[in-house]
Amino acid sequence: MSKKLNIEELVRIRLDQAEITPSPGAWKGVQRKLRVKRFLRFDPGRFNLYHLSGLVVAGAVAVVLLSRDPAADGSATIRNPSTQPAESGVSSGEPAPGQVSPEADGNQGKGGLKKNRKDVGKIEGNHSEGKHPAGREPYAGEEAGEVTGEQHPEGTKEDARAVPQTLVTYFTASSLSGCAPLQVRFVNTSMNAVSFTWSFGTGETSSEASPHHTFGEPGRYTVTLRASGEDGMSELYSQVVEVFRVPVAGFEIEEGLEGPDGVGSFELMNYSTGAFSFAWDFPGQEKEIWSSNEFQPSLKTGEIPGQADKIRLVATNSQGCTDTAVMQIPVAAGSTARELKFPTAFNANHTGPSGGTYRPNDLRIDIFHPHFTEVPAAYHLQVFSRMGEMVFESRDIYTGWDGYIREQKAAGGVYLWIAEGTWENGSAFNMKGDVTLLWSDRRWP
Amino acid sequence: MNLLMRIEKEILKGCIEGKSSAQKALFDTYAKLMLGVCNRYASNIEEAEDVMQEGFVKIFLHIGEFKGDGSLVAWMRRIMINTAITYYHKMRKHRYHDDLEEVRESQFEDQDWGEAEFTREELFHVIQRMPDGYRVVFNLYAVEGYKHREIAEILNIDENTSKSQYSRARRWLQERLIRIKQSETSPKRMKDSNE
Repeated sequence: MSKKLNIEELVRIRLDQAEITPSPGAWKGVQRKLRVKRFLRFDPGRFNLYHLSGLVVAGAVAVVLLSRDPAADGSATIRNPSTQPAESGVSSGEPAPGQVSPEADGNQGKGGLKKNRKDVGKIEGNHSEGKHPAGREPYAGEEAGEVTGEQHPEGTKEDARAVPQTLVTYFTASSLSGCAPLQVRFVNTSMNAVSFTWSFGTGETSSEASPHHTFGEPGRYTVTLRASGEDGMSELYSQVVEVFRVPVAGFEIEEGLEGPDGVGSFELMNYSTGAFSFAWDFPGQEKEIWSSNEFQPSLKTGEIPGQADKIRLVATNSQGCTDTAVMQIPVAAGSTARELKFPTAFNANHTGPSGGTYRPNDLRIDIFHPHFTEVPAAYHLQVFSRMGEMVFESRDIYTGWDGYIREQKAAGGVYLWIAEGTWENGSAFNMKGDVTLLWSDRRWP
Repeated sequence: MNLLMRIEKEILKGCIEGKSSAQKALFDTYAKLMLGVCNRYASNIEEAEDVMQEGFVKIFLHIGEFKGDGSLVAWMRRIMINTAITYYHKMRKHRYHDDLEEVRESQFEDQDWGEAEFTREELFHVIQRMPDGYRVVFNLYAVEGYKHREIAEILNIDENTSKSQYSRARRWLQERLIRIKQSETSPKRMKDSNE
């Protein structure tokens, strides 16, 4: 509970999975609405408005057809849009289905219509929801119109072999779903077509035979290919491409509190959205060094290898889409994580040599010693007079110079120092500087 | 886990076949969660329930299109959110445009909150009182994780509008939450906010 959340997290964590019990009549309401919608919506398997109007139209068409040449049935080239290319054999060798229809003359009108309806149903199945609310019929209408109007000029219909040019519209896609942006290569396997128009469901179109298209935004897109034959007749085939939303990975590195052992830490504040699993590591480093799948891990500064200067977060959503965020480990914080700081002056104690030892966390101003954030694995401090004479040397970081040389007060003034050594992680340090030794009576509070 | 998945599969199959019992089962399983989603987008619970019902109708009509490549819940949530947005578009035509309500520069610092600082009801209450435009943008960005570019497209607004709506929504929310907190800790000061 001690963890503080920003306003987004607060709302997300508290409300995202919130459950509210609906009112008792809610289910009844859904059923009622469903019945109304079903009746208004096309569905070949259920009696509805379309069947009703279909029956009326079928009756009318039957009457018209009975008084005409029965072979002029227009349903011949309406293809099932999900026809596989293998079926294209139909087009080369065999006559188109409508032309060899065994159905009796009187039934042909109805049979044709029924087939039409099935086709429409299939097309609809391929459609993304809500894109064409009432727009399913135009396919059938258009097709049927073009077909009946243009396809079989008198004379060819008797000889099935004279119609090998049946248009077959079909394509495959390199992928039908994936993370945004999704690049899809469409391979056009249509036959007997002379021109193509693609619409990608995004408002964009192409007239290439086999185009590439990149879907930048998530969503369901109905990709439609319209192929036109030499006779100007055209046909549609569509497939749905689903582009998944990509999560947004984001985090901030905050300095955590120093533990009792004096080791600092970083809190990795996760601000990712739209993701449910997380993987943290140092980019370019072995996973064994450090990795985590926690939502918001904390990282001890000691765990950070010297070479690592960045933290990486890979956020993944339920569709497997990922986003990566990389943050620089804060420079100031990174360096304080392993740092030695030497004072530029110290005021030695008059009362006599102290030996220069001090306790951790007891910052002494009467002893020359560094402030440090981590105890080095190896440490060597040397202090020189201006004449170049070494006046003090220590290999223990808890032993500094008290300002005495062989129990005698050293002269006040400037001394030079060199500090060398290595940290626990193996990285080395090598520092030098000067320090002014004072013998002042003044004591700081 | 396995059993749950099997049951879900069974329900899903039934729904695809249009079985009323399966639809009821799906509704009973998820209605609460979905109402929770809708409630964030609505300005009151009745509206939320209306959206949820519409959403379920869509789900039943289109369940055959669910590919099974993501989770069913995620798919259902998406439909609920879309329905809520459609509802918002519809309502926007009728409702008074309070989206442009001037939010003065907040006198409050951006603040962090403890997870348990507000009850769920308090949070819902505040969110439902947000101006409609703020609420939609805030939900889409902060909870659903859409980008401003995407929100702009969904709501048919400018990307910058989405960004500024969002920052105002955030400020608006922040301010209300601080007020709630203040009124809880010092009930006396509740009324005279001039202090």
